[in-house]
Amino acid sequence: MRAQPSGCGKSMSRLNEVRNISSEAFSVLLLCARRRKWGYCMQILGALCRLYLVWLFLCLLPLAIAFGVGVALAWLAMWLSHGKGDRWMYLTIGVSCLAGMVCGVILRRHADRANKTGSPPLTAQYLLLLVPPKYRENLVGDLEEEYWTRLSPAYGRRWAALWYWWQVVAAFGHFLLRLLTGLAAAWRLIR
Amino acid sequence: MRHASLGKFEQLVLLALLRLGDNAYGVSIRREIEETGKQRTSFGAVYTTLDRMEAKGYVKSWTGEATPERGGRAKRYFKITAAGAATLRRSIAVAQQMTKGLEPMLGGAR
Repeated sequence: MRAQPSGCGKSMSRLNEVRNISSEAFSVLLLCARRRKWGYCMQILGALCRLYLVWLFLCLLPLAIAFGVGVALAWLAMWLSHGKGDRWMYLTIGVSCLAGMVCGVILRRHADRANKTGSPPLTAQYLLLLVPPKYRENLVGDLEEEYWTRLSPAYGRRWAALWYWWQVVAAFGHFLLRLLTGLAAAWRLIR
Repeated sequence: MRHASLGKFEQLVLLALLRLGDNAYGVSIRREIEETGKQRTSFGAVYTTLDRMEAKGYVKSWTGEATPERGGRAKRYFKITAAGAATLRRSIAVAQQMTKGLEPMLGGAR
């Protein structure tokens, strides 16, 4: 059922690859945590942290390229406008910043198009580790099923990701509230 | 004798379990509450309610099969117990008893 990335660019297909590997590693991590294999959990967590850094780098790549283009153009503008007055210099710097921004927007759109059928938000999946282990696997499975079968095809990746985030925050809030209520009741009994 | 009472959301979840029969798991329960009960809810609310009612003995659960669209993760099926059904019946009866004779005041909203 899991849709394959369309592969509109090398970095985007790598990004999707990293996401898929992270998703699988996350499943194994949940399994190990359930069976209380803490040594394996630590190893997988280490690997996930490294993967997360790679993912972050690939995500920030369009922004970094846009920034680089902007800076390069600004330097070029300053070099060209040397000795032609301040107004000319400010104008060329402004134009080069605008060009950098346009470049960033184009790259961001390209990234979104390439990742239209991407996985659920990885950070939100990590947050689910904070949910009590009893229903964690079922909750993650339910969220993923709803994401792939209903929301992503009907509303698109962005809305589906937003919905996923909302569900994770709501789940975390509910379990936290329940924990706090239990603690408050225990505290009243002790006092 | 003092009977245990059910909250509104607990009633909705138990009714959804009754309607779904053997196919009651997280996604289908939430969908049933949203589509039939016309109430927006989150998976977190459904699971915390089910967990609480399982502790009270109103529902029982078991792990089902894993499917590819769930990323290979297993489903957890839920079923209402006899104690749960009795409590639900009592809770609905109390609500019906309380609304008896109030139809004109409720403006025909039944």
